Amino acid sequence: MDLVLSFLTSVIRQTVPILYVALGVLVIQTSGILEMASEGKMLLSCFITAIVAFYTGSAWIGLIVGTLATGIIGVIYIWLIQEFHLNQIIVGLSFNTLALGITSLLFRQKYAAVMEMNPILPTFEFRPAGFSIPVYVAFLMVPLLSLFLKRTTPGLKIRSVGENPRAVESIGLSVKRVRYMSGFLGSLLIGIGGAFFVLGVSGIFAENMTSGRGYIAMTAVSFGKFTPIGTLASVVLFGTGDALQYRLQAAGNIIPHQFAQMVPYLMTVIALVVFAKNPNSPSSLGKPYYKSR
Amino acid sequence: MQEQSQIKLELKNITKTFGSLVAVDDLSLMVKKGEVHGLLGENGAGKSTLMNVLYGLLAADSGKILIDGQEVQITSPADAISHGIGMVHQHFMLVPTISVLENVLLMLSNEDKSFFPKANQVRQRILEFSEIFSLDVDPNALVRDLSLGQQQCVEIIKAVYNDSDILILDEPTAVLNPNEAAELFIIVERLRDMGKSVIFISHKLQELMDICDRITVLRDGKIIDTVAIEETTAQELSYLMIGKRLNIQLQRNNEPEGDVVLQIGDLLAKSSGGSTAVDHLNLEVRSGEIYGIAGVDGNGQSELIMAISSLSEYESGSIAIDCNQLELMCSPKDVLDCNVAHIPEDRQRIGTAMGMTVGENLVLHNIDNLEFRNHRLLDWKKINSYAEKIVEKYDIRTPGVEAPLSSLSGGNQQKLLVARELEKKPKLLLAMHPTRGVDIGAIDFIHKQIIAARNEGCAVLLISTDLEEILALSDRIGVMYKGKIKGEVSRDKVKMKDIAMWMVGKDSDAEQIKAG
Repeated sequence: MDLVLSFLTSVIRQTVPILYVALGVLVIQTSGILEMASEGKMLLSCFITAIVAFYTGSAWIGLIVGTLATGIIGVIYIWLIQEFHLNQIIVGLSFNTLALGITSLLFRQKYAAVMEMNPILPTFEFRPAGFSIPVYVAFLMVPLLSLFLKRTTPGLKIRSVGENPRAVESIGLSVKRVRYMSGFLGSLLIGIGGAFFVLGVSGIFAENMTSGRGYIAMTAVSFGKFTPIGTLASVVLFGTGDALQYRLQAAGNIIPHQFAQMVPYLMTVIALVVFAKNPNSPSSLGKPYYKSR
Repeated sequence: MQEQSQIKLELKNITKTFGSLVAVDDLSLMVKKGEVHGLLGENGAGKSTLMNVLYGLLAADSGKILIDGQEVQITSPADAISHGIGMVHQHFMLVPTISVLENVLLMLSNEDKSFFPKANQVRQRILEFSEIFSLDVDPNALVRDLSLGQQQCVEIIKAVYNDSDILILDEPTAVLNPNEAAELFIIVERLRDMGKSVIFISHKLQELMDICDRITVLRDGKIIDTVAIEETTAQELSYLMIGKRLNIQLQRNNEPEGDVVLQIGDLLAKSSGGSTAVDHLNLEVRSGEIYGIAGVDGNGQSELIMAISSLSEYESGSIAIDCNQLELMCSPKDVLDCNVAHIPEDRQRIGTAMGMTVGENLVLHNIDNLEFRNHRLLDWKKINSYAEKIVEKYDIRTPGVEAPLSSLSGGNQQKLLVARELEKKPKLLLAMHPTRGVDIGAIDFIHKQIIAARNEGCAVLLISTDLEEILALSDRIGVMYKGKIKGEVSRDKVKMKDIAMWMVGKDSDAEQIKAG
């Protein structure tokens, strides 16, 4: 019984950060922007959160600053794509490489030396029923986001821009403004994901600590057919794989640890191959939009 | 004074250019309250550009817009909507994956900034509109599940929802079937009765004659004339539109028929679905002759052309061009090497490369020619000066030879294709629907070019579903029915009755008597 309970706890801990990131990617992709930079944004959020939390000694301040910073980075990212019509895949991938380089460099050059090695970060103190607040908020976000996208005016605008930007322009709305909004909101969610990962799951910052979780989140969105509920389901599936991986490693020498580590990635690939038909993606996803003039 | 107050909308000296192309040239227009005002013009005459300026989608270079005598600034569609202008675009501006209601809510979000939209109120209003105009629209249906006619109803509801007084309908019947068009006309009449001003854009003369109170004719971005419907005739309008009377009697040299250029024997070809499309067909086209194939679409015409040009394989039979017997599995290049020109059915898909420039498209087929090369490398100066010559000669309206082909109007794209093919000085021209979807001026021009090629001794195989075109151009006419030439007749012995019988697969009266 204890074993099952601790396994479930481990699944939830692994799931929550990816869930936040995936919901953020969902918001951005729904507006038609191909969000390839979630990996880099998540890593930057981890880094900024870790530093702020370390120096202020407060997990909450770290989370808030890390989240807002990621939101601003998200706006800059949208700005690059919209104003210069850059290729969204290339910008996304180079952004991820840049994020990895910057965080590794700064961590090694400055903070690791100053803070000795791997300082233990503050954590969330208030834990009703064993989990900290961001865990509950994550699962609450799923119905809230559903409601936001389906039933509110900004949600309607985001969906419409992703499907037919020209129609949105023809009734006098600004396509750019809607995409800035979705880019900011989505990046805030990705920021929370990074912040919770470093404070609530790992407790320390390490180089390339996200190791592909941003990409897994991206996969989860298309696997979840661009709905919040579907995204939750696929993230839980991947989280289970991740937790299984740790169990397998902990189980000892039965299976080589390289194989154990492979499990979540393998599940991603299999899920994509088996379920990727008819992904229901927004029609204008990844296509640059030129205003008529 | 009375006259003055009736003017609802006034456009003054509007000019709009794209690069060096003047799309709308110092144009002024007045629309009265409660009238249906037609805008008539060929493709590329500037009708849509003018209306996009009025609706704020394009910014004019100069000019003024007055509504009820007051000058207004319209820099975005939001301005236009707030000044009571609604527009139904030629390509519908609807989001297909959301419901009718949500499409209307989306439009309202311009004004109504509330976080939760007032869905019930708006749904009620949509139903009221549906009742007033007897429209068949379910507010909760997804737009992608609606027919084109229903989608247009949604666009009209969007356009009138804010009590707009001015409605722009851009080529509204282009996508509708005749029933849906008739329903649209009833709606337009009801809008007029409500005192709204409707601007109805079209290049179809007859429908404008049916619905409009006054018609303004545009040509080359200028207004030619505005006429009241009682005081004009279709002939006069068509004359105003193209600037000259249609030349049905084309000049042809009655030179004696020459050698056989295209000889088809017992050709059997299958459609992509696997059924027999061309059924043991025999055909001969001589030099200096236009052989027209009439018939209802889908009786094997496409497959016949695909087989001759070797763009698809055929089962059996023989094809000889200029005495060269083609092999069954030869490549399209082998065919072209017999000096064959081809104006294909689908100009955008296989005729041209839309993303490439006008100049590139004009030399595509002939890129190996040393005339365009300098030390065996492509010489763009030579290519562009050649292209400029052709653009001039064939009167292709383009911002320049380096503009992408997709920026030209459909008629000019087709003229370019015709120019490229006829510049080969071909022995055989395969022309399929050479004027489909092209405006009257360009049709006239293309017809003249085909006749000119014939007069120079080219053999022409013309396939068209437009009977008038076939009758105007052909020396001999064959009617294709279920993969066979059902009947064949020379130009001077044509009887419309026979052709009509052959087109539905019946024998003509004369043959029946002979058989009986």
